[in-house]
Amino acid sequence: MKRYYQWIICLALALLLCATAFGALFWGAASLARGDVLDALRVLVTGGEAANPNLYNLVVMVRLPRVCLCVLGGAVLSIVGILMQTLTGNPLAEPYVLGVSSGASAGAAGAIVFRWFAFLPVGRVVFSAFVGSFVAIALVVALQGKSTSPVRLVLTGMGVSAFFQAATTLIIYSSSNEAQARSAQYWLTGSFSGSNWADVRVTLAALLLLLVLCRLLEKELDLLLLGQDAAAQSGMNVRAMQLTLILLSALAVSVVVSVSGLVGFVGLIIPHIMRRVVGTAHRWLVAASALAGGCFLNLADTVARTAFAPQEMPIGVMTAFIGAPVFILMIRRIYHENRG
Amino acid sequence: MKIEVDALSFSVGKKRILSGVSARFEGRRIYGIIGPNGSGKTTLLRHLYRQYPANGHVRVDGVPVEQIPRREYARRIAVMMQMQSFAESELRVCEVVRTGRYPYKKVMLPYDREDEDILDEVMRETSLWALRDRRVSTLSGGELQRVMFARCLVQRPEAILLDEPTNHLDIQYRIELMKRLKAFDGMTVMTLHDLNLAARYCDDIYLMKDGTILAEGAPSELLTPEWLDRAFGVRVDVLTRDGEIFIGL
Repeated sequence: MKRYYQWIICLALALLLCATAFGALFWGAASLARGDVLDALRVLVTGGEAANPNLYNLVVMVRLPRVCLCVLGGAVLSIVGILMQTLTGNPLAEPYVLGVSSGASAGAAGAIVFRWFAFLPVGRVVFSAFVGSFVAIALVVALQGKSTSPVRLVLTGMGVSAFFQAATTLIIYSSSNEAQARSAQYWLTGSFSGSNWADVRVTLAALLLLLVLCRLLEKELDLLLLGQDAAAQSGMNVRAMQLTLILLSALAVSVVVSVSGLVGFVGLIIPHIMRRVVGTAHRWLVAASALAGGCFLNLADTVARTAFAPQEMPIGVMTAFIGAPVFILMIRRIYHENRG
Repeated sequence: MKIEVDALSFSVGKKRILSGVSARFEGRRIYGIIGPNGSGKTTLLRHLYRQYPANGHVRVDGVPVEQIPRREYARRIAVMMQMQSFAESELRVCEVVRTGRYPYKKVMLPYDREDEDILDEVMRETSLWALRDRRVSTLSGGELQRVMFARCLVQRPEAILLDEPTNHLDIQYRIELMKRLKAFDGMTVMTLHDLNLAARYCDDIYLMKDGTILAEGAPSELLTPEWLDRAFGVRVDVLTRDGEIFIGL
């Protein structure tokens, strides 16, 4: 039983993920009959003629990619949360909390408004977001040094985050184009509206890269949990490993931010809970968190798009509403532990 | 194995921490570095394990430490660390001990059967077998100490370096650790506060003061009222009974 415990947990999470993803297709701003959704899915799988092409398009080109993107985005954000927590030796590290997402959104906004990196033929926005998030995370890691102090980390993150959010707002408001200015909301609070299959593909690629590298580097990641000094004394090239993790995290965050804007706290809550369920060793933590993160973000998005329909609530508001209290509780607990 | 320190000096800013320290550690012996706070014992040890650059002043079997590849160094010399960071509190005992095999593995390759066999053997040797699936956050200080020691053993090193390993430990755990070191088939270099432990378990003592080595020798030669007065500046009573030394404060 003990040997299969983690398998069972992951299997249960996978089933839950499939069920919630399937269920989410039936919810949305436009109320669709259950039969219409099922019909569209049948056509998608088996081919043939859709009874109503408009409904088919709504399900397959709007709702389905949105659900897929939420699941993938949630998984990516959860894994990046784990990587950043291992990198900084601190459970409070998370792309949004440390300003890494804000760095990415500043980069993305700059690419859209000021046409940064205009010489690139494709992926201009993602690349610019990558540069922004890389600068942010490198800044945080450099300022943190070997300190494991949560206070220092969170305060550094606050500064970095405030700076890049201001930069994002500045970039957006300096735009003369009104449509661009209106998307300020989008870059600062996140939304999965307007998801398309191209977004799904690039996010899927990011997720696969993360999963493969986490599996290959699980021994290194586990060793890092003992601290940078212990890792160095065991013969690890800590600097190179840090740089790898920084690049990987920045890349993944920039992909998610450029398809969905700022969605905070997912990478904080999910790994925090999963550590209690499957432990801290990376093999199972990454798998379980990816599944749970996909579930969570999909559920959050379903609520965000239906609670005040036809008005859509930014998903970043939803995740922060749940995540911020968890964050505060964690800080409280860490304080108590540190006082002995 | 032989570790030689040759005229090592070290400053932080204008403050001199070590000045011209020379020492020699070799064979299957337990070396204790003792001295008052700020005498440079920990700094000396950190030079041995390459936390500070030794610039050719520290050699292992004649080779300057900075020329030894990271992993090779870690296969030969283990450093017993204190645990403190957040996340490992949810790690299991076997997961922590297993990381000691890291220096033997290539990047991206997993631990294999041989690593697991060595792990099992050491876990039984150190009476950790029953605790192998426990989360380390639930262990007592003494058990945690044993876990970190087991981690050094699976590294199969020729030498173990320890920095004040007995701090915060109850007396029975201090003695347990010293006995395990005595049984370890290799060299041990440690900094120590507890003079009675040094007297009882060390084969050789380096007595430090103000960044220099005051004297080196057997415990019976150095743990005397005169030498301790010179190092610590206090008079203590030293009793000898059946060849054993007792230091009273």
